[in-house]
Amino acid sequence: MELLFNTQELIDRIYVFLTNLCLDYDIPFWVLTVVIMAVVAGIVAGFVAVNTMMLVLAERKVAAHMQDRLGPMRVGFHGILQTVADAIKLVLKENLMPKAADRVMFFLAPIIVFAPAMMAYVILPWSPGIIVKDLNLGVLYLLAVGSIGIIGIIMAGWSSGNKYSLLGGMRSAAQVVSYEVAMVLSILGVIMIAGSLKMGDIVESQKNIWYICFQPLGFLLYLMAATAECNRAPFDIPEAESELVAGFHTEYGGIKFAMFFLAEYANIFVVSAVCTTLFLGGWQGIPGLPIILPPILWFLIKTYAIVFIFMWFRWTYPRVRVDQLMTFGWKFLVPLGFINILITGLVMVIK
Amino acid sequence: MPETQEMIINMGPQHPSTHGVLRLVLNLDGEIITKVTPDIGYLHRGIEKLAEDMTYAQFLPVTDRLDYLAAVSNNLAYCLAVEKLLGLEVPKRASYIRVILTELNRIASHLVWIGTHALDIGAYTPFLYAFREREAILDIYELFCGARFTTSCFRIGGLPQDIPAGFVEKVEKFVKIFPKKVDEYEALLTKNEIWLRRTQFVGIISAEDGINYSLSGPSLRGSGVKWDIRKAEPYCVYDELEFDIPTGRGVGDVYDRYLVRMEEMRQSCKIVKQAIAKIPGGDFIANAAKIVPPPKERVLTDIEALIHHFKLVVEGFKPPKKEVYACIEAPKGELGFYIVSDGSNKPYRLKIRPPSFANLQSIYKMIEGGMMVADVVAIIGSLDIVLGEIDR
Amino acid sequence: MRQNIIISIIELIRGLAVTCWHLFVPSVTLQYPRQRWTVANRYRGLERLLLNEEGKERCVGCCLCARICPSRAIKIVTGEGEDYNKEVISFEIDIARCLFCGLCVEACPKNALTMTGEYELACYNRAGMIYTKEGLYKSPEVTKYKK
Repeated sequence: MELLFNTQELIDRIYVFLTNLCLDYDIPFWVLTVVIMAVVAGIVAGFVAVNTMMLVLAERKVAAHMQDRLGPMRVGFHGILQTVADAIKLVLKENLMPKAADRVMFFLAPIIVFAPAMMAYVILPWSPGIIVKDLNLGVLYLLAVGSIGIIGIIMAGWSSGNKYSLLGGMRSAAQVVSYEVAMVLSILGVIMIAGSLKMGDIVESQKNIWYICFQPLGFLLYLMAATAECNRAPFDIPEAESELVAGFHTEYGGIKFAMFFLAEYANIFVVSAVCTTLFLGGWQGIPGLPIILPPILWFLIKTYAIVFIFMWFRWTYPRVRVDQLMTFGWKFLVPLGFINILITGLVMVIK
Repeated sequence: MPETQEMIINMGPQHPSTHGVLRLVLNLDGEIITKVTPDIGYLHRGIEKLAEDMTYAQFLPVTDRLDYLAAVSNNLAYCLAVEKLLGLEVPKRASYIRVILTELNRIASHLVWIGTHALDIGAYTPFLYAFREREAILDIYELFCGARFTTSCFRIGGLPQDIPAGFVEKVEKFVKIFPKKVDEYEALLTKNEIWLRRTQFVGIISAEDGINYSLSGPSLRGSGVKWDIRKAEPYCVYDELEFDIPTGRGVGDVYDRYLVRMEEMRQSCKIVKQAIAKIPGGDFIANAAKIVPPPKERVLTDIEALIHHFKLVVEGFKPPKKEVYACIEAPKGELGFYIVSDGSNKPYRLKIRPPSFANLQSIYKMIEGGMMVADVVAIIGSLDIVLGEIDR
Repeated sequence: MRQNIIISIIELIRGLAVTCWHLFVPSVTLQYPRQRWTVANRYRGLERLLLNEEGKERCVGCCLCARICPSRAIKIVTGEGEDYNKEVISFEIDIARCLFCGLCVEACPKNALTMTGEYELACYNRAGMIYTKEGLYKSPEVTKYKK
């Protein structure tokens, strides 16, 4: 039980135990490394899959209750197994390929969208010590990986051979390029204060006060940019179903569609987790209060709260138009981001 | 400079937001529309031709299928046209109940409109809220005539049956809670910045153009023209009821049409409130032996009534040789029936003037000035078309 | 005509408040196969033929219902019975064509035809959509669902 609070020690003990095991039985160390890599990858993949199913269910339930409905109720108690059933159905579906599609690209697109979404999990700090790899360039890595997914979306849009998909892909490209800038600017303030790009360090430095107190504007900017970044309503113009049918994934079905879906929700979790890490103190409890919950729970609670905000936006607001999205990004978010950095810099200099 | 080319995109007939089976051929320059060509006829069922092979009473259920969201209004327009042809006087009680039901129908139709229009623009939640209230209206219809959607709830000369017990209470209850629900939709949309940006100055049509394109109903009132058939040529008992004609803020854009319809729902609510308090006693159907079949109890006992009943069912009535046009203010605009009678028991020709059909053609005008794909969706939504009556 | 930015922000928050409030409003949906909706007395569902007090068929085969039906869904064959009376040999309603407008019920001079509250009329083939005399005299079976 205590180890749950002191996860650093837990990890150390496991590592020591495994190293001793290797030494005792004369197993070469590379085997250990490979095994650890495989296990960690398995855990991450498993988490992504299970978490996505939960998020999809949560989304449907939140939407339903906001709209005076009940949502899925038939599979399992209050429909908790609904997404499992849906996932099985999607996986078992026939694999269709439109005649006009570019076969290779059409096949690759979902993978290219899905892989970066998974890759971003590498730098999420769950709890002290529990982080797949605390990279020195953590935040930068995140931004870099986050923009790879867009290539997959453009590929999907182009290779489907459908004009709606093409429009969706193009919109998506424009959107992500613009909002990447706003996102970087909103994060910069935090990085300036923390003085590090390393996720672990950023969390550690929020021991006394969360950065949301120094960076309220940055937090809001990040929320908006992140909503656009993962194509969520009100910025969901790449898939805008009332305009473009389903946008870039109009022609996808079965397991390929499931991968897009998985990637979308995996992304939502990532941006929420990053938001937690950068602005809400990551796995730290509320400063000044006794630690009641283990750090990992703190992290999850905060992250799901942010996820809930994203869902809340989606079920409340209409969709913006594509040109307004650009205007909003370049003429509103980016200047505000600069102002935010300017103020942060000034305050730091004066101090 | 490489040569560029416009992209032609088929919007519909299978598309989530063309409200049925409308097909629009869009010429796109990037996202901006240079030309739009509506293509209609995917829901053509030959209703006008069907009428020529049916007696006047038989055709009534078919009118439900015109504007299926406003079946009651269609019934009323058809009944009024035939009654005008026959010169038949409808009892006051029937007229009042007709007004209540058609005004509720206007609310129901507008509720579907606000739901789908918001959905087109990307707001999901008002859709479900609107349908929640619509359900209450459909319950009232079910109570009155037994059907929720394709009501066929009037007969030539009046109503098929009197209002049942509990009807008045149910309507009163609805009228009482409904304005609060409208406030709720408005809280989600009316002043929402995103909604404003999506609807203001989109799809503008001036009052003059609106008249020239024969727009009618809320779409015309959105351009600032105070034209409402309920006031201009009152039918039923609208001249005895008080209500206002909302006209929006006079720009003629999507937002104006939105404001007009929102206010119309409140006005309809007001009309229902007055009418329900004023329902007079008396017959629910005209006492005209050659037109209206005798009541069932008499048919069962009286041989003369039985003969009459047989004659009216088998042959129907024979109106005089005449041509009439009767129109009402349907939820979507002016709905008119033009009937040519050759003195036989079936119409020689029946022409329907559906509001959506006339309203749709103004899309050419509204699309001018660099509208985008997303705007087309908003414009179609704001016109509130129903393909059932466009294609007939 | 753009509105003040402060008003915009307040209005955006008001929208959020409405949806959040509805999280706590009880749902209005009906869990259909498990919960059932009681139809109004006048509900126009599946047609049904009635018997008179003596347990004999009320229908005399006058064909008024078939005449008035706008979609011609009713088919009646009459013939001569054993005691030289007119007899209804077959009475079929094609539910797939039926508009459920209720004109046939109004037209019936013998009160032999009525409409029930039965609305679950789906079946696996078109033949199942044609209700014959036997089916129309029986009270329609209520569909039962497991669970």
